[in-house]
Amino acid sequence: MESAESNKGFIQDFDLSRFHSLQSLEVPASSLSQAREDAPNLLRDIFSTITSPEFAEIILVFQRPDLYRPYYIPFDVFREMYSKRKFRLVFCLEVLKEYRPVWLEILRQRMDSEITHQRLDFLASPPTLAIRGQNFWKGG
Amino acid sequence: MHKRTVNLPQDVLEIIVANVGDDIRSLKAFSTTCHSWYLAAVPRLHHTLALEERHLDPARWELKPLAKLHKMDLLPFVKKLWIRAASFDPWLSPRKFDRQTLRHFSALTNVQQLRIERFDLSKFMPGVERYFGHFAPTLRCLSLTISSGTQRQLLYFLALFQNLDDIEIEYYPITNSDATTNRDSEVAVPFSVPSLRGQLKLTHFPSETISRDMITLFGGLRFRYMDLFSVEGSRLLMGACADTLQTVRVYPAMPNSTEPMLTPANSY
Repeated sequence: MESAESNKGFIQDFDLSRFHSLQSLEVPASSLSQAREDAPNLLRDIFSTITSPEFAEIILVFQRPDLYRPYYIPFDVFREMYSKRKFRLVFCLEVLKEYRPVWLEILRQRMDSEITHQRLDFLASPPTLAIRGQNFWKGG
Repeated sequence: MHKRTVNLPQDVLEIIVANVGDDIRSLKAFSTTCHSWYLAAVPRLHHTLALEERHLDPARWELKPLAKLHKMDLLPFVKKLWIRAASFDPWLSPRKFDRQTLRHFSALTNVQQLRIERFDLSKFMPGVERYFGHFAPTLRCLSLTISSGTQRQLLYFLALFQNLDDIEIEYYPITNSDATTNRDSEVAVPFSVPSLRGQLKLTHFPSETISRDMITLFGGLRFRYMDLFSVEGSRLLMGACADTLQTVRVYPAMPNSTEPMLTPANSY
């Protein structure tokens, strides 16, 4: 009961129907694969509140530790979301100070593996790969 | 052959430097070729300056690098300034700035990104503009990590920078104003309104009041990107950007999660 109330408040915080210019939603991969069993359902509920006509993209954010531990992305939930509303899917590597090309290669292999296993066959176009700094301080 | 290489047009040299990227070792090698190559490389070589509390080389502790860079007239090339901490206690304080050091620090006139770790804002109050006011025309990104001060001090500090677009604050424990001296009430109302049209990234930010004051004093918010993790008043902040928000980060594991590893700042 407490959890249901907590979820209700969370969804209210993330009622995205107010954002008429919303173009993309970012989701850390770690927040889907750990800590809460109902995280995928929460994501689906948040997604269902989007009304912006400009919305077109979900960015799955991976950080370095995500690459070296087992992970689970609930692509069946993404499939369900996609049936309601089309979007592009981006696998994004987020790095802090140091970057090694091998990290992007690991992410590429994971993405390719998902494609090979037909977990992403609901997408009209294949997912894309991106890389960027974790915060404003992008290396240096 | 050597002469032809040296006499490459400036725009070609700049393209080469751009392709070298942030590889400092290659840039240094490039810059030693000749004077024109040095001139092409120097803006990128000195694009970033880290002032570190501790370094392997004691000559690079704290504000010491400023003197050498000032002597070589390199400080105006710095676009990104990172003030790094090595210990728990904030090391940066007005006491570190003697007249000469302050003069050198004030020669950093083109800083666009400023990141300060363990910044005790209250140590610089009143008169914070004496130390940081020269960043006002150019500063676009401000990042504070494990910093502290009162609510009004933070608002006042943010308002120094009228062209500020991006704010990142990771863990800002609010200091209560001293009731006996009422020091916080002595902090003046901000004298400019920052642009705030870029990114807002807050992690462990404990005050809804400060969010409300920020919206009121700055005439609303116009951020296009938000990443709010464990933030009091997140709904308020997001609501203030209803017309401008283009990208938002959500943490579906957040409601009952106490997992510190989910915090971006702690991921490395």
